[in-house]
Amino acid sequence: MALETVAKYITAARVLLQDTKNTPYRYPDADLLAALSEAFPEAKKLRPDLFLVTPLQDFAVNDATVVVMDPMYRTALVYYMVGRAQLRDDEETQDQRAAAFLSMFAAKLTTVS
Amino acid sequence: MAASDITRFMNNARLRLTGATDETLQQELFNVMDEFFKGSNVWCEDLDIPIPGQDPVGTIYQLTPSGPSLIDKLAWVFELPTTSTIGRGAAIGAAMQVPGELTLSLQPSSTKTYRVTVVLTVQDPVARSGYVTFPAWVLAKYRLTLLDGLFGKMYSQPSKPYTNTQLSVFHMRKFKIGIASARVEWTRNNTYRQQAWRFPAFAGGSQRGSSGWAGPV
Repeated sequence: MALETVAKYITAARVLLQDTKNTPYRYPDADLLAALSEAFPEAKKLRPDLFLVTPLQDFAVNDATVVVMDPMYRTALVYYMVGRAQLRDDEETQDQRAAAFLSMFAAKLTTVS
Repeated sequence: MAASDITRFMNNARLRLTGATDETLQQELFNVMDEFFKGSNVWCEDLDIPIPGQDPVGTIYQLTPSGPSLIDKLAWVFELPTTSTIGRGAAIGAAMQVPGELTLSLQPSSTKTYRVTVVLTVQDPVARSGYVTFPAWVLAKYRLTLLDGLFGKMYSQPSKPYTNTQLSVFHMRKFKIGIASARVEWTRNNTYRQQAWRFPAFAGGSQRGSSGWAGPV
């Protein structure tokens, strides 16, 4: 199944960030791991019910660590990672893209979308 | 609970609650069952309590249900029948100011055993699966009412994919009606066309050919 481990989340985010070639990467692993870690409290703020039995996780290494999240809402975490990463860019188009991904993150969690 | 029963119940809920997790459904199911049992009184248990003779007035007797459940109300107390031809002995005045602590209005002079009927409600889930524990017949008999309660509570949660205020009001109304109906059925001992009254103790109910149940009238 897709989006089970930290590595799969990083890979999925890099596809949307168009950052799949390590020459080196435009967005380092550390930034994406921080974004993934930050996605959890943000998701809990919107959907506390998703964390009744699931703990908030923190990630420091791009490895096969399992990311515990209901399969219905895993894509939302990827959207948050992408949006969070693109916030650092100061180009106007990137700002819009960042805002769009962060909106999609919230929409994925709170609506049928 | 039979596994197939709860599986069908949960599948019915999942169908109409897009994006809901099982943990949330289990959490709200507990609330639904608690409200249902407290409102309808349908879950009762008889406890035989030995009462030593000449205990001081105000002595507290602890009541403990046999399964995982909480005592909500004291229904009634009767002395055990002295012969096998009658259903119960004399009625006993009793109170339960704190749930689970029985006090008698009059202490017996000799050792007796009283049959205490208590109304139960659900306790925190003790099963590893996370499902609340209650008698299987309740789910079988009141499946649709309980589904209404679950829908009503789930739809009322704010900012969820399944949030729907209108449907919440609709299902909660049906749930309340279902609870009221269950309470009436309980007072009539689930008997078709049973009256909401019974003959007094001296008649023993036997004149109507009934079993002389101790209904809350």
